Amino acid sequence: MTRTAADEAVDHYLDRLDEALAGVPGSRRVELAHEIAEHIADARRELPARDDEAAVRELLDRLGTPEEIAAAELGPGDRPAPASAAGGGDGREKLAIVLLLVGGFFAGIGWLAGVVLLWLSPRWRDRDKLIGTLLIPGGLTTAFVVVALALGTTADPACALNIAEPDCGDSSSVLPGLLLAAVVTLLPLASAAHLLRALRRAR
Amino acid sequence: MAPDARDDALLAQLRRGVLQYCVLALLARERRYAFDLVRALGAVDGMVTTEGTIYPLLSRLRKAGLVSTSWQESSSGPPRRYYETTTAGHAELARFTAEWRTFARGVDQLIEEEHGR
Repeated sequence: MTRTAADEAVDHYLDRLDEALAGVPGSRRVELAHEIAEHIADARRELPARDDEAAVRELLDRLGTPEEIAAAELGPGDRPAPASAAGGGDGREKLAIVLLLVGGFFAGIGWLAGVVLLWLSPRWRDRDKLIGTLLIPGGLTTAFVVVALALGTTADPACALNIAEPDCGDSSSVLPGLLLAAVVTLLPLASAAHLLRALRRAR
Repeated sequence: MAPDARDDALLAQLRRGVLQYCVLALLARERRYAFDLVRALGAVDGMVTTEGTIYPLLSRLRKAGLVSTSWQESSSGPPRRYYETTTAGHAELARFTAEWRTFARGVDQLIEEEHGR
């Protein structure tokens, strides 16, 4: 079967399309090239004469230039997605998470700032915000304090020196303290992880 | 700019904002394969200038979860990919339709007042 002038025109167009799509990621490039080729085939089938060169060229014109198609594929386009609001980065949200975790070390003010940012953010549901605020208030700072207290009951210098019978307790009363310390340390971390995950989900 | 070029630019701007919703509307009524969709759009005057750019648009709509695709055997050759609007797509379309109607009404009103028709 010899290639007609119409076939040549199509081949030439598809070659140009291949070049124009060079910047498109691999699988999508193949897919799009295939879609266009299929479109051309479908359109030719509808022509009175599929080898009518003039008609085929007109069909290719209606398709648009390969450069236009490539631009549409690569370009920003008009995002059809439901508005991801102010879009852009989640810088403020990430700052909120950090402040909630460690902001308390700055006399608690950092943590409060984190809470403010948390509640002002449009990116989280109220449920997530409650988790971020209540688990746990003060974040890692509170955990730090609790851990220090828990260790303190075991490392009270007075106990070591046995001065004036301080309430040292024995090792069995240390465990609940350590358990509490562990839980209280994990909670803010888990809460931060939850907030991060929620950020990604909402995108 | 020559009057024709100016009309083209205006139309291009209007079209660009609206085209994806027209696609969603067409695919909400019935499943279509791409070429069929392009043909339906082409039937509306001035809606499509470069038919090829519909394919990147469909890809974007798919990525955004507004349309879904399925393959279907075709009597005349290889299987075809059919597109249809998803639930999320319907919601987007409804949102747009409400805004569009309000907007178009507003514009019409202003124009009428201007020309006293």
